[in-house]
Amino acid sequence: MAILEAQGLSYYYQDGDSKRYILSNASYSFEIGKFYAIIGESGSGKTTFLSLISALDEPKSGVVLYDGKDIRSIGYENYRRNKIGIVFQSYNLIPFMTAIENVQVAMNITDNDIPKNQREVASNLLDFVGIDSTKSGRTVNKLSGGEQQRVAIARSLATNVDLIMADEPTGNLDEEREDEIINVFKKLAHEHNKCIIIVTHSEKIANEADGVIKLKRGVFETNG
Amino acid sequence: MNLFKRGFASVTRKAGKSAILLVLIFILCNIIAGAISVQNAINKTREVMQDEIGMEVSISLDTASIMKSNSSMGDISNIDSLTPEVIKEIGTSEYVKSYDYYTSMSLTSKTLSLVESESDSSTSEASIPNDPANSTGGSKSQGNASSGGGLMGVSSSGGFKLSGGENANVTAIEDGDVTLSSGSTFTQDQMDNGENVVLISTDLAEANNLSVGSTITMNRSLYKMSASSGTSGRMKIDRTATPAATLSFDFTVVGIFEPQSELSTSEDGTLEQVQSSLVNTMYTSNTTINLLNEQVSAEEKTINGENVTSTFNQYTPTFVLNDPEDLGVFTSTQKSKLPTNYIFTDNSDTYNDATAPMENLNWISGIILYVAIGATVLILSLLITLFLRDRRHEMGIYLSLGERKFKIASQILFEVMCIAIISISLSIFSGNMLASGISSSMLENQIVAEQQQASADAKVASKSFGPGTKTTQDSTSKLLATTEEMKDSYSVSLDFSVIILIFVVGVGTVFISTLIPIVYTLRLKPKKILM
Repeated sequence: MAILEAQGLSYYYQDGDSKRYILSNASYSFEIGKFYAIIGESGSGKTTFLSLISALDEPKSGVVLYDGKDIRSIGYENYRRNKIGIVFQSYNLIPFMTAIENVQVAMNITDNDIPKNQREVASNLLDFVGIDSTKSGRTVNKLSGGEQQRVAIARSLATNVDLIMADEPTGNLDEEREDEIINVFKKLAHEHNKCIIIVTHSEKIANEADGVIKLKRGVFETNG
Repeated sequence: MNLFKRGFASVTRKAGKSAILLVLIFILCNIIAGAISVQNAINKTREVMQDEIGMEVSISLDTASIMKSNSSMGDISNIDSLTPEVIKEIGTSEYVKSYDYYTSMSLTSKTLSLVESESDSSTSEASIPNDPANSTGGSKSQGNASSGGGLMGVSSSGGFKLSGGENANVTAIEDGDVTLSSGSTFTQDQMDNGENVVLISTDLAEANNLSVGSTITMNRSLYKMSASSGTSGRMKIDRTATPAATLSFDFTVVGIFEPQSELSTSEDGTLEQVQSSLVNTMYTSNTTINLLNEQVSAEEKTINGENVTSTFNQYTPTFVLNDPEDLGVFTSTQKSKLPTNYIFTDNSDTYNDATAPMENLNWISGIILYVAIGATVLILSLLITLFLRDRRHEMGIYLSLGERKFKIASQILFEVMCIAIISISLSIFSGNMLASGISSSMLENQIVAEQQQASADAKVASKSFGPGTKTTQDSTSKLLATTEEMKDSYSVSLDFSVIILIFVVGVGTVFISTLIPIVYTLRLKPKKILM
């Protein structure tokens, strides 16, 4: 069953009288319980596509349907708050907060049902991604890159959503840490029935993915 | 981590930036708090001064209007007189706290000696004793002199002034212009029957060995009037002739009063206390003076015939208003009751002159307040914008997590307000102390300048118009005394209303200062920040 559908998404920059297309008529369906990799060269439009399906930006044309509903009708802010989790290449954690507080921030922002024992749930999530209690109380800038990315993944899970999107989540990590992160995502998709969409340059991730979407100059070479 | 916890964490864990903001708001709010404290002190002093000086309204002849209509002072016998009935009717106005009205006459005495002050003795040669022009009211100075219980007697150099009133307790005593040192004030019967009873000053009593119960004899000389040369046909008094008749009146002293000494300035411009001009004034009732004037008029007619304009009583009323703010409504509602050619006059000039130094300070503090608020808004807006630029990433994260923009704005506001409340609380006390020191010094300088100016004006008036300018000297000394009172009353202090006002203005200013950076934050796009 498709949890997310991109239908004819286009995005361009106005360059004088002409339009410079970054993404052209991109369509794809993403299903729950699967792990997708979006690959392509730099400038192929991968991150733009992710920003459109994560409602961080608005397409020039086309629609994004979440569970059959246009995300515009859900509301972009509402959609980000309650339907998806996002993991960024540069982690994007709040630097003066601890790992556990970073996870709690997302719990507090969402309208989804979150257990009252937020701290305990956050601690369990961090434990799930491999951050033990000795590290969860540290401010995030005292953690390694891999650990920070795990915190970011834990935060994306904290809102109890089915759809996790990640932009180059292993881009700043070494190979060993990359494997650990891939395993976390695979586990989330296959054991916890989440839909994982990852934008990556990594062939390794592409090989592990259930579905691979290849983008070339803003056009999908593989349409789902 | 709700927005308050996030805000609190941000404030406490980024101590350096919080400290910078705290110090900056503290400095700026010191200026705001100081200016507000000064303005509050001025308002309080103004209220004290208004209570102290009070709002007294009198009724006087509209000389400008009379001159305009007659092209000269003309014959004032055609002018309606101000009757006690009119005064009483106006006195019943809801805006009037109390009222009294006075008349006066000058008398001489063959048995009593005048008490002369140094200034009087140097000027007595120039004055004209027994000048019948002083026998009743009619001149503006005399009218004013009588207001406030005849505070500024004009007869100290020309004879004894008999000052009448309606108040058996004597308004001058009630107002504190004089204090009763022995004997009593009048009984209502004495007032109503117009008995020849008087209150005299201690100086006059000592100079003439008088005490309560003594009987004194006063005189009034009357002159034969002759037709003046020219076409006016008016009668004039031959001052060089011997009096055609001299009337004698016996009075019983029922009380002795102590005049309050007046402040004046010496040659070097410093304040000194001088003998009051009330020493040769005697208080009695209006009825007594009316009866005496009737006798004088009857005798004048005997000497000069029926066609001589008879002496008439001119009353000078004083209405003390409940609230100085009521002046406008009082005069506008009561104006229709005045006879033709009469107008209301008030003592607001005294108040305005006395409080001029304070009003200057008020103006300066007002400017400082507005400039400080403007500077605070500008400086804080820039600083908070700079700080938020450093936090763009954090704001982008909140936006990417779907945080509502108003909650992000609230968090920023909460953070700034946490710091601002501490700063404002501290600045209330320090700003108040600073304001107290600086403003008191400024006020003192302004007062000294004002006093020197007033003294200089008085000297110029004295040189220009001769030593008879008693009214100018009196009003100068009253002004000086009032400014001294103002200086004593002025105090920069903290009370609940000031603290609340400083908080409201301070918090309001910080709030406005934070709005601009918030608008900047809300325009951020998470994609541009994070991807």
